[in-house]
Amino acid sequence: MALKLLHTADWHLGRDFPAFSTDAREKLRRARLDVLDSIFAEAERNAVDAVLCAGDLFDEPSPKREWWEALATKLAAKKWTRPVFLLPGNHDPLLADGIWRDAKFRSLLPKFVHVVDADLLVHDFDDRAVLYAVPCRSRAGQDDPTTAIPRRAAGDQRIRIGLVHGSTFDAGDWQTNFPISKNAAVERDLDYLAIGDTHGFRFVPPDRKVNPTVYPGTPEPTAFDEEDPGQVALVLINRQRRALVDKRRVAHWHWESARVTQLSQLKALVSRTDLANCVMRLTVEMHLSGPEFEEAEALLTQLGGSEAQRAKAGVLQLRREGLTLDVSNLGDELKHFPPVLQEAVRTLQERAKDPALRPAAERALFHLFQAAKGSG
Amino acid sequence: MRFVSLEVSSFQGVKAARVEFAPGLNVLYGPNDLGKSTLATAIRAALLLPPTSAEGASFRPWHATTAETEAPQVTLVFTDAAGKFWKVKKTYGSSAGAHLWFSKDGQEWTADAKAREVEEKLRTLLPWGVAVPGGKGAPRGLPQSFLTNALLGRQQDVGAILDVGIDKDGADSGKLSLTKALSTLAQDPLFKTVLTVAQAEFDRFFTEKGKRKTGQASELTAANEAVKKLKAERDALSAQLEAAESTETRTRELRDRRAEVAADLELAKAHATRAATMEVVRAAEARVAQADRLARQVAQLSQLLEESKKTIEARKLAVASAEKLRGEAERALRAAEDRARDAANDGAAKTRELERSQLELQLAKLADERRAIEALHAQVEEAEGHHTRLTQLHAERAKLEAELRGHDDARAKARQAELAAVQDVALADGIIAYGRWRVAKDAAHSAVAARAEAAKIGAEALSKDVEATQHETRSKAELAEAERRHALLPSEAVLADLKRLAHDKGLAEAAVGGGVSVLVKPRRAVALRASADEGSTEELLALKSEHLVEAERRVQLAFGDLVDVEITAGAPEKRRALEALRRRWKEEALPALEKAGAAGLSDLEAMLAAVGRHVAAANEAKALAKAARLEAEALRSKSAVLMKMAPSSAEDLEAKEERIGELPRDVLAQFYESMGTSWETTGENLRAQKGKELVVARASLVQLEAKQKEAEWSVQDAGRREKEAAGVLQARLAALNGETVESVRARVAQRFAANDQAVKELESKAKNLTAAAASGLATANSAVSAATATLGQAAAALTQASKALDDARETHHAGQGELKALEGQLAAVDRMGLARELAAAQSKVNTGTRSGHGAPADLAAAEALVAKTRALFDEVNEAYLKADGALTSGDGSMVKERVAQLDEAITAAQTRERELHIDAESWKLLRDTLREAENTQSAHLGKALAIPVASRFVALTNGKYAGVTLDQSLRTEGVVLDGVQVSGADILNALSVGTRDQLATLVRLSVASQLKTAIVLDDQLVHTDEARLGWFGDILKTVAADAQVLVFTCRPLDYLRPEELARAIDLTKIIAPHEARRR
Repeated sequence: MALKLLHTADWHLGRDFPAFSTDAREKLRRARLDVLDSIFAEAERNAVDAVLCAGDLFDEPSPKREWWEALATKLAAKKWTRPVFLLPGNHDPLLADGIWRDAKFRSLLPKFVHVVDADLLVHDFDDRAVLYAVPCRSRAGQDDPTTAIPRRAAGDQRIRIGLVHGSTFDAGDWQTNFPISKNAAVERDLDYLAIGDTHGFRFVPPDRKVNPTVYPGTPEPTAFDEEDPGQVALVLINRQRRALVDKRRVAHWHWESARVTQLSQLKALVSRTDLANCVMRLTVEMHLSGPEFEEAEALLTQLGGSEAQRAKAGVLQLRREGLTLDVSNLGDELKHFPPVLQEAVRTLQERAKDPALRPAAERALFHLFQAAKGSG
Repeated sequence: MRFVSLEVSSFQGVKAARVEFAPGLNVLYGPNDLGKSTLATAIRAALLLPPTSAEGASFRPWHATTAETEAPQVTLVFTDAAGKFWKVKKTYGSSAGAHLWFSKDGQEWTADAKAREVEEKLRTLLPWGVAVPGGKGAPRGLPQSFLTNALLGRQQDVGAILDVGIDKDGADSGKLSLTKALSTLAQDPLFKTVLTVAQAEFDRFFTEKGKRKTGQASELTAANEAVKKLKAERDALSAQLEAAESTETRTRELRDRRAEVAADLELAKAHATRAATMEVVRAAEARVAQADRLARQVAQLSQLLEESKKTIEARKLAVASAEKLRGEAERALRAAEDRARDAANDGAAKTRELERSQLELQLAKLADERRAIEALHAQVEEAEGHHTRLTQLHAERAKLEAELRGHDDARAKARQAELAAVQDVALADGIIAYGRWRVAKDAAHSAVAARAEAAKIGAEALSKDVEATQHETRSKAELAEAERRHALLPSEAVLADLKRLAHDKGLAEAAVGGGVSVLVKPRRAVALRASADEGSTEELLALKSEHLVEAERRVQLAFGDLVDVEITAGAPEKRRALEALRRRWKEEALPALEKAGAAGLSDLEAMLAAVGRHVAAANEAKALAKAARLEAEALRSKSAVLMKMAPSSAEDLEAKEERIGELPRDVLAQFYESMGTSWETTGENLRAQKGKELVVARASLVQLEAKQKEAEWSVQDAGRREKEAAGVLQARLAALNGETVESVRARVAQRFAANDQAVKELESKAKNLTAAAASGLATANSAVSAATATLGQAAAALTQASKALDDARETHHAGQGELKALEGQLAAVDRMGLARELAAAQSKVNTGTRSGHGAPADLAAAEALVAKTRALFDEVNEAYLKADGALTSGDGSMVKERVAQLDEAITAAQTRERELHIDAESWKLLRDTLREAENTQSAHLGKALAIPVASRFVALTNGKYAGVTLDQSLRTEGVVLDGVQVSGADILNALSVGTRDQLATLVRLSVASQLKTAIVLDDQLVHTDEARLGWFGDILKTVAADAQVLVFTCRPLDYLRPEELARAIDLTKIIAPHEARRR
């Protein structure tokens, strides 16, 4: 009498990434849809009995059509009988005018998809197990949703699973969002409590000495500071022992922050082979001579790409204020310049001594050398 | 600038002259003193000298007596750099005036300026460094500048070119013009590339005037707008966040406050508890005192009981007496009552009482029954409410199902429309495919014929090509022959000269004619050769006798090798003239005749005519060849067109046929035939139209399918809700024990009616009973009342006596009871226990919560404080719950997330804006710096201009002068002579007068060439040898390719080859001198 589940949450379909360029924003937005294919493929590969989606599936209560339609289309394409439970979270709560009450969206969903649109959804798995799902009805709240789950009745030997969305908390803490008792699984005698909210994969409590409460985290990362995102939880539950939980990576992108202070570090970074799927925030802090600066520029162009060159990094967020040109050391190329260009270089070197003009003068010198080199 | 025409009148020595100038080199020649320099002066005056200038007086005709009659006037037409025509007319002297017109075509003129404005305009049109008259730096007399000297310089004014720099100009315009012209010359290719890149990038960010572009397309604006937009969004969200945080803070404060008040409540409760304990102590103390009191009371009470025994005995006697009196009164009353009963006739009153009580009982039962019916009625109402809801839901579902059926129908129709459209599209495709197949098939037939025709025409084209080649060959041969012969022949001008010479010689010969007769008389045999005039020579090897030789003009005799005699007739001066002509004939005509192999000039003429014929024949052959080529080309085109009609391959034809598909050919053929020649356009239009219809049909189908699906979900949803409502109704009906709502309702109605009726009847009965009892008993009752009153008095006396006895007994019994109770109490009181209890309570008070400042004085105050604190707690708790509710309905955490996202985006956008700003500024700085460097470089005009001057000077002097350097004001700084740098005043010594003149002329030509403007050379290079003159002639032609050159000279052949003389302008035919001068 075992039950196999795939537990995912925090898809945040429709989330925008305003800190990135237009192209990168589009890539990252689309990635949130594309990862669903990996999630569903994982579910098929492991022949799970059900897919639990623990809230914040959309980034806002009324997402644009392109997101809900794409989700419905993906689900409708599945020839499944295994149930898929979609739980409203605090980002996409169960509101009267929200997406979960939208007839168009709901009509597109296949029969195996169950939207948790009642205060408590109870789903029976052939008397083997029972699922209790409690949705968020507002964007913030103080009630522990697990309190709506009934306690085990005498003689009930079924596997009990909870599906909620919120933050686990200690009694002393102040939490504004659907605080969930960290002992909820024990208190409610649940064999597995599937929750969503936090974007990194996490066991609550971490020592795993009681029946597990799990945050699978977001399947596709959304920020640089998330810990262990990009996974789903594969859960095998048997009443004879504690549920087994396995992390499975499904993300296409990994987000990484890097800082380079030496040209060699930059070279090493560019030579990496895992950058195509990387969203990289790169901070460059180097003071370089003319030829070195040019090399650094070329390396950065390789990373970020140009019209003529494919980018090595999937998405690059470059912070290059710390990259400066040593105007006192411009290399030997200057000797081959005609007097008029040498005169211009000298003038720019002089201007670079003025702190107010320095950034523009340094850049101008770099442009000058680039243009001269291009013509040569 | 280019001169178009010049017209002067009454100008110095020229009465009138008009000359038209051609582009390029213009050589204007005439003898000295004809007025060539006057024309050059007139040009200078027209362009530079204001009419009111004092120097204008020098333009008066030299012979003129009055200025009024013959005012000097000059009219100059020129074009500016843009090709616009300008005409300036100036009159000097007392009627001084100036006018300026412009024209697009040199024909139609529009006035532009007059008087002083003319000079101002001319300074703008000709930016040559001359100040505006009257302005700062304006010179008196004829204005001069480096450029006016270079372009219009006076005759042989070398010093003005080599020694005076451009820095002496009255205005900067000359330097600017030259700087601009020379900047191109000065640009290094690498520099130019960098500047071009920088300029292009500059243009991305800035306007021409260096201001930042601010339009929508500007990247800087876009970056700035992006930052602003993000900030605005963040600010708006920050306000929300602030509100949310404020709510959160308030919630937190209220929670804390609630905790505080809860603590206060606990404290108040503690105080209440202590107050209660104090009460216990007080009670214990009271109980101890009570016990003591009890002991005292027992003793007192025992004494009182003894006294009360005596009182009881006395009161027993009084009671016996009162009982006796009451017995008598009772008997009297019974008699009265008997009488009253008799009055009431029977026991009806009892019966009525009984009935009344029965009626009241029945009414109570009916009231219970009514409540039961009302409960049942409520159940029925509720069931019916659920039934109505179910009916509504059912109707809703039925409506949705009807809509769904409507959607089904619409979808079916749309599906049919789509199928019809698909068929139409297939038909249209079939028609097009059929048409293409038919055309290809027909073409296959006609193309075979066309190919044959093409081959035939191709052959014709080839034959025409052959013919053209023959003509071309002939043309080339004729032309070669003409050139060969022409090379041997003098030009037509030379031939004309020779003919004039022959004519002159004939005349001269005629002038010396008259006859010569020589008689030779040999003294011994002598060899004689004799010739007369130009006749044949006669030879007599051994003349022994007289021999007469006669001629018209000349006899030549040779006597062996001893002596030659020539005898010529005529006067000596005629003969010398003839000799001169003969010499010329020998020098000029005979070599030409020899070269041509001609006997005489008539032969030469014939030969020239023959050359002309060869040229004509060559041209004719060329024309024929061209015509043949065109014809061949036309034939080939025709052939190509026919070849293109070649049939499609068999596979292609099959493929075309396959594309027709399964559609019946005969139907398609009908369509095809009916569409006529424009079948393809019609077919394509049909296909496009049907295609559109198909797209519309499919879109409609997709839309309807989506609607249908939506409707299906709605129907399912309605079904689910109906099912839920049915379940609830079923439960309600089950509560009615299987009875239908209607029957229950009917039963309820019946029961209500029956109940109402029964109540009504009972109430009526009760009313009747009351009325009957009231009337009959009145009299009897009054007697009963009197007896009753007597009995009452007796009874009262008995009662009083009994009461006194009872009181005494009671007092006694009470005293006994009290004593017993007190004794019991006293026995029950554990005096020691009470003492311990008191001690314990006192100990509890002592060890419990100490009363602090403001602690309530007693239990009531403590309980009041508890009540007050509890009320405050409730109030705070309510406020907390409200705040918590507000927090729940808000979305503070999500806003916080979004604000964090926006902060990051703002940082990124600001970084991009900053980067873009630096980039824009860097390109601006680079461009400006490059321009500055360029200006610094090209401002040194000398370096730029020295390049063409030096190279030409080296060529002119065969490398003797390896280099010329000019300073930044274009003064000649130095030359390299035989490898030695010569500079300053030494240049004068190093260069001859002629070479200085040549160097100055080279500088002038280089300036004109760079500015691409006209230059006037007035009798330059008079000290130049023929070799260098020839070189200069070539340089002039080179310069004339860029700039118009006017050369005034008396020796045109210094600049032109003889055969080019015709291009020169003979000023003698143009300048009309004043009569006085002519004389």
